[in-house]
Amino acid sequence: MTSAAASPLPWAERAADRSPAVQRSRARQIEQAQVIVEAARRLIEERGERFTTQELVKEAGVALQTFYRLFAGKDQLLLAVFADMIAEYCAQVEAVARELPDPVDRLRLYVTGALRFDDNSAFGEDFNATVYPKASVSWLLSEEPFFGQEGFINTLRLRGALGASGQQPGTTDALRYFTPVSGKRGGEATTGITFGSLGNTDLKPERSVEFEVGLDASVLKERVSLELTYFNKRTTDALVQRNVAPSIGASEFQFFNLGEVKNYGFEVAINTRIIDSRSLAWDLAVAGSVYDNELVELGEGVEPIIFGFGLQRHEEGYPLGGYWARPITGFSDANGNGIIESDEVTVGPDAVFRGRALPNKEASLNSALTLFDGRVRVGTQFDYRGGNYIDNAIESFRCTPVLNCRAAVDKTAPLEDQAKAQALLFEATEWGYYESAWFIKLRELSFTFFAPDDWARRFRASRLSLTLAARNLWTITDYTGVDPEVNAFAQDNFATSDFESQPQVQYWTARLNIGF
Amino acid sequence: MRQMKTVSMLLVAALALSTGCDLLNTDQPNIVEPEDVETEAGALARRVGAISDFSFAQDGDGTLFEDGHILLSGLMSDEFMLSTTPPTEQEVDQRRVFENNSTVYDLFHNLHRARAAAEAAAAALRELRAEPDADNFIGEMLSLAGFTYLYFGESFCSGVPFSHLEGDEVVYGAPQTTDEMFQTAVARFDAALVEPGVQAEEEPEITYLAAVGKGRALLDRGLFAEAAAAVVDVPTEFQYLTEHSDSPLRLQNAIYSYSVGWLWSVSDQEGGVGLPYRTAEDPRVPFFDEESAGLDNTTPQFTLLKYPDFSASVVVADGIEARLIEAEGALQASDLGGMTAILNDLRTLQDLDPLGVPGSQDEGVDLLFSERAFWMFATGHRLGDMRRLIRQYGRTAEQVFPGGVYLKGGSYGADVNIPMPQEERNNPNFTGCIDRNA
Repeated sequence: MTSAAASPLPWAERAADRSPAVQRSRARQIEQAQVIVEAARRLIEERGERFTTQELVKEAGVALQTFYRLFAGKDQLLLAVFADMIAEYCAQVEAVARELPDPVDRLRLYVTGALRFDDNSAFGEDFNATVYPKASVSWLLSEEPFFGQEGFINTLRLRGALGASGQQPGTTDALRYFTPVSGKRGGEATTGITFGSLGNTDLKPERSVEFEVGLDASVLKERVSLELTYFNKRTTDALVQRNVAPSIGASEFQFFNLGEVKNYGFEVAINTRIIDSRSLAWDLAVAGSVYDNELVELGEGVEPIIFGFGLQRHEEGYPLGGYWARPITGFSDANGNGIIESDEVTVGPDAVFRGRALPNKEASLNSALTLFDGRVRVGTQFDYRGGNYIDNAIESFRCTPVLNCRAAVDKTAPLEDQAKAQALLFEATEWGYYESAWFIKLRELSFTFFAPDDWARRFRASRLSLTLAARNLWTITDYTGVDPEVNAFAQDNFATSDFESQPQVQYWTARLNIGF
Repeated sequence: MRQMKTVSMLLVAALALSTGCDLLNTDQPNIVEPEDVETEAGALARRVGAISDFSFAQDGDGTLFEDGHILLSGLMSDEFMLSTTPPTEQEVDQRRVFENNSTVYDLFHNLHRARAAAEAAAAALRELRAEPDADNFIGEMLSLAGFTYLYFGESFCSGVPFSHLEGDEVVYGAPQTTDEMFQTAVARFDAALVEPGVQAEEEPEITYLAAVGKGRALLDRGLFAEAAAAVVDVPTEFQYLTEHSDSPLRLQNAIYSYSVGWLWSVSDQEGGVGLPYRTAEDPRVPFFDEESAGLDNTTPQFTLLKYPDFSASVVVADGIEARLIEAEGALQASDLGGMTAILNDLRTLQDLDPLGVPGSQDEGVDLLFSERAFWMFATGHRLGDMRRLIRQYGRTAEQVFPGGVYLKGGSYGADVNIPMPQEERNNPNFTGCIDRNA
């Protein structure tokens, strides 16, 4: 082995680094790298990652060769920006903390920050990596000297967060590909290929920026605790599976980064111990949320996205996945024969929005009553959901094509129901079968008996308890189908329908817990 | 704080490592990427895929999820009654089809897939094979593409767009009128006929396939003499078939599946004006009276026996159709005797009694279209023929299409063709059917 072929020895590198010429050159390169990173930060602030290398070197005032001498490419530059921002942020936090008198004081205020750098083989080949920053602050106001210790409020924390996050495309969403398919010709079955997916080389993660403020408090000697949160999230470049014009002769769908979606709402949770004595205790927890979403923009030239048996849409200005249909605008028994016939129902010419498909109001109430010195606990849970509709497709299916729903065959059926059936039969509108899906359910009722310790010891155990529980015992709803909570589309994000779906089953359990 | 800095920098370094090398350039094991098939073998695989796509679009498959052209066009015509329940299929049977019909979307999409696959396969065979003219494959692909244009023209409303891909770009097609679709079909068949590999056929197959397809398209255009001339060389025993198998599901004959599954039932004088497919007791339309209602528990089930099992082949074009095209040429030339002679020659194939010469031109039309309907039952011809009776022979829709009270409630609608699905509205050049005329 010759010395020319070997790597330089460490002492030789150190000696070279001590050379004034090398040190001057090195200082110059560090300075240039900093200039480039600062320029990149300015461009990122102005327009995200969407800038070219040419624009970058122009902003930094350096030659393109200088950039490539110092950075392997844009990915490496983004990493440098990432490191630079973290270092700057750490310095700021250090400076703030240094001003605080002692370590305990410093814990009244929590500030956290993070940057996430994402690259993914699921991104389209024309899209590069991305960065998600986030920061949050939490202030324990009740620990401040000016906050009275003996007041109604025992603890109070204010919090806020602002951050960006992303959702990656599916593994093959960006790819154009074929899939194997069986074919037969000349008596021989063989394998060919058929079009699998169009793909999208520009596909990138959808990006959400969420702002959240809230408070956590405890009052009445900490017997009641309260959490209150307001959130507002805007998602841009939303990943949307869009129908492709079938005349292309390719795949059915294609993923695009389309438009903008807005989500906002309130969440509240209250936990309280209403009764607290040795023989009797009653804990009550109430949680609820109200929120809304709206498709702000779908993208220029993009038609509404229709799915779920053609009944649901993503359409600008409306909640995602709402129910649409041609409306029943009126009906009357004009000929007085006691039934509604097809020409006695009027239906609007165009589909209009009927209502959201997903609930936008949710609440739950949990109660735990502990009796007899803790020997018996009775638990109940009520759930409420509302604000949404569901397509009673099983009833419409009975009307057409099966023709055995009451409204289609029984003259004594309410005229409104007959009108819905006639509109379905003759105008093919599902309007009358979209029903309000609000409900209150007694989700769970349970009784637990905690046996005395000597009972447990007879089984050589340390603890012994028996729980009898029942779920889905009682439902209050206006929905005329079996259960407003079902969905024939199971785990689908937005598509909902009640069609040959199993309702939430009622079941009873008995559970014996033995602890050793 | 120094420790935090160190951790941060280590994270950055880890990220740099992961992005600096090729860790993210993963292979996808279950898919075939376009660059993998830019070979001669890839071109041949595309041909097999195109044949499969065509067969699926025309006949459907054993999954029973998507109806092929023969099944759906037969449902709108007087061939079949729907003996199952999906509302989207009932809309077609009842001739009241809405734009949001998912069954129609499937057929429209599958026909376009078959069309695009055949055209792309033809191009790939020409570009990637060392000796593209050594066989008739390119002509076969062009012919199958021609049949898809025929099916669009015969079954869908006027204004079907034909889009395509150019590299990564989508080129949206402009709507074609019904006649323009038939013209395009003729152009594809003509292109197939002049392919060197087709012209060199020692035992003509694609030559005859393209000839019958061209004759059919010319009939659709009302060019009867030219149509007869196009098929004159096609022997009566010629057949080009889509082939099926017991498995996999993709290769099963769906017309058989739908029949024995009691989903489709053979009609008889449907809506008062349909042909007597059952009462004629004609061996060309074999059926079995199940003496029971079909899957919908309402419609009497008469099961078609023409396709006896999952592996039964389906005729795309044959010599019988060639003779029927010649017979129509004779009809148009007012040669009723000549027409009847051709029809009677064909009837000997099934030992059927000869027909008398019709007493009038109008009776001749009835006779010819009846013979076409029986010979080509459940092959995807009838809806196009019913539309031709209106467009070319002056009949009204009420004289041709089933009407009156619909068996499952309500009445028949007025559709004489299938509208295009709303999904096509993602094509900026598309505004819906140009018209709904026959």
